[in-house]
Amino acid sequence: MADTYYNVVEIESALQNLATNYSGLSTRIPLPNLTAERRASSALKISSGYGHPKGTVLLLGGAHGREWGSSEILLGFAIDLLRAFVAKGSLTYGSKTFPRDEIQGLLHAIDIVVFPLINPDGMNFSHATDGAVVGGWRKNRQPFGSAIGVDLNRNFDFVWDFRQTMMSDVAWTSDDPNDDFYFGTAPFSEPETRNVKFLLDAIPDIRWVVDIHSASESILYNWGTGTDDSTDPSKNFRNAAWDQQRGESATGYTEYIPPGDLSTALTLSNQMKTAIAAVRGTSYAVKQSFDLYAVTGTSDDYAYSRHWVSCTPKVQAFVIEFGKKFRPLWPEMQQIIGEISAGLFAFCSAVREQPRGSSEC
Amino acid sequence: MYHNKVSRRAAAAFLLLSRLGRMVLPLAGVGAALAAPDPADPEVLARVTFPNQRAFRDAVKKFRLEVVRILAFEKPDGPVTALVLMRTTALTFVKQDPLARVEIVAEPPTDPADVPRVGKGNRFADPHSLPEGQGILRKGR
Repeated sequence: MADTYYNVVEIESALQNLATNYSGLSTRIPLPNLTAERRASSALKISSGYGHPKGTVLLLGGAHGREWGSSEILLGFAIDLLRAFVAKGSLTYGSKTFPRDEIQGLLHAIDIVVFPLINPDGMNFSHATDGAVVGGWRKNRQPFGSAIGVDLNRNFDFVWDFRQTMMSDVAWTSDDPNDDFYFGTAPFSEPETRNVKFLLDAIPDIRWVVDIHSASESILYNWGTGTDDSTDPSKNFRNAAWDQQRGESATGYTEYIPPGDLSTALTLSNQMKTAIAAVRGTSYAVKQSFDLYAVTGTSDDYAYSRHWVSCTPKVQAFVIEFGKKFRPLWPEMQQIIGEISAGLFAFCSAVREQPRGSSEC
Repeated sequence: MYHNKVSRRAAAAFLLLSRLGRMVLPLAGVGAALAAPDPADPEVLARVTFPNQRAFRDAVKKFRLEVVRILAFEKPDGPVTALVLMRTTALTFVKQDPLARVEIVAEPPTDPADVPRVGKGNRFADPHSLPEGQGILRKGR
């Protein structure tokens, strides 16, 4: 293969070819919603077929156009897993090796669904325009008069209406279609986010989500709306008494997370951190999503929030922000693919040991 | 670089007015329209540090910084370090701010060899072509 990123046609074809060439272990899942530019999207389910019901890990990539490489990470992870499982072999990334038994055990214990390119329109636009710039195009390509695009990672149904739910000026979100963080016209107004919701609805075994972004070499866990706290369950995103006070520590608002979930989040995050560091020494920071700026409408908080509002099984969700810039040169990107693949293998291996929580309803 | 040509006097005047709340950079909004490439005023990715949250938040508004990620901050109101995107003109002004420390992380590439590239056509048109992983497979171990 040439030393270049995959274009959006190649990403979809590569996913199809994985399903075809590993038909006993993988299945392509066509997603129901076409993008504004009429592109179809697919996910890939990888399952050994052993055991039922099993927990499922959902891996997401390509939500932001300018963040090249997350699709390549997930396709690389998928092919490595499939090759190693079929060959009954071990996998080595730099100084980190996953032995045969660990890989066999992983796929006997869980299923994995890979959705490598949530935002093909935005990625395609970025591929055409962003090679020689530092920032670039973040959103999808949905037109709104003279403005274009919704930030898909502000469009999920989790405290989406930030004017109502958050303290003013603290949310890293916008209702201006010209803004890079534009949240859309309604929760799930965008076909791309509805495709993610479709997977969460259609595969009730999903218990864990990892959404791949860039670029700050960090691993983020829930929540994004306030400092995590395990002592006061009344401070939570469903409690309207805290509307317009969220996102600012001075109001006293914190976001409730059960202590067991916080412990699991830290354990799994640190498993990824350790595996990533073992490849070539890169140190990823483990952090809560909330910092000086709150975030709303994100994929990870939506996935984790579902079991409180819709009686679905508990899903714990994470974000990996890989690399130091949005579009590393390909040789560096290959190194990052190895690092994040190792982190994902460690994650998938570790979740086998974690309790599978139930709905809070 | 373009930003080196902006006069120190203009930067000082801007800083004075901005501290009085009278002026912000005539650039696109926070997180906005930076996506539209402007060859005359390209974006840079920078790590900025301010001594406290208020100074940081003020700078985000005044200098139209697009916050990529907060990298570190000390509670309750210690220094804030963040990864931000900003126009080169804004970089000039931020550098003049005595409260700010700035380190450029990435600038637009000037050498074509430093421009990341995307493949043409379809390398997976052959249904037997598969993507590459980075793991080294050792069978039977």
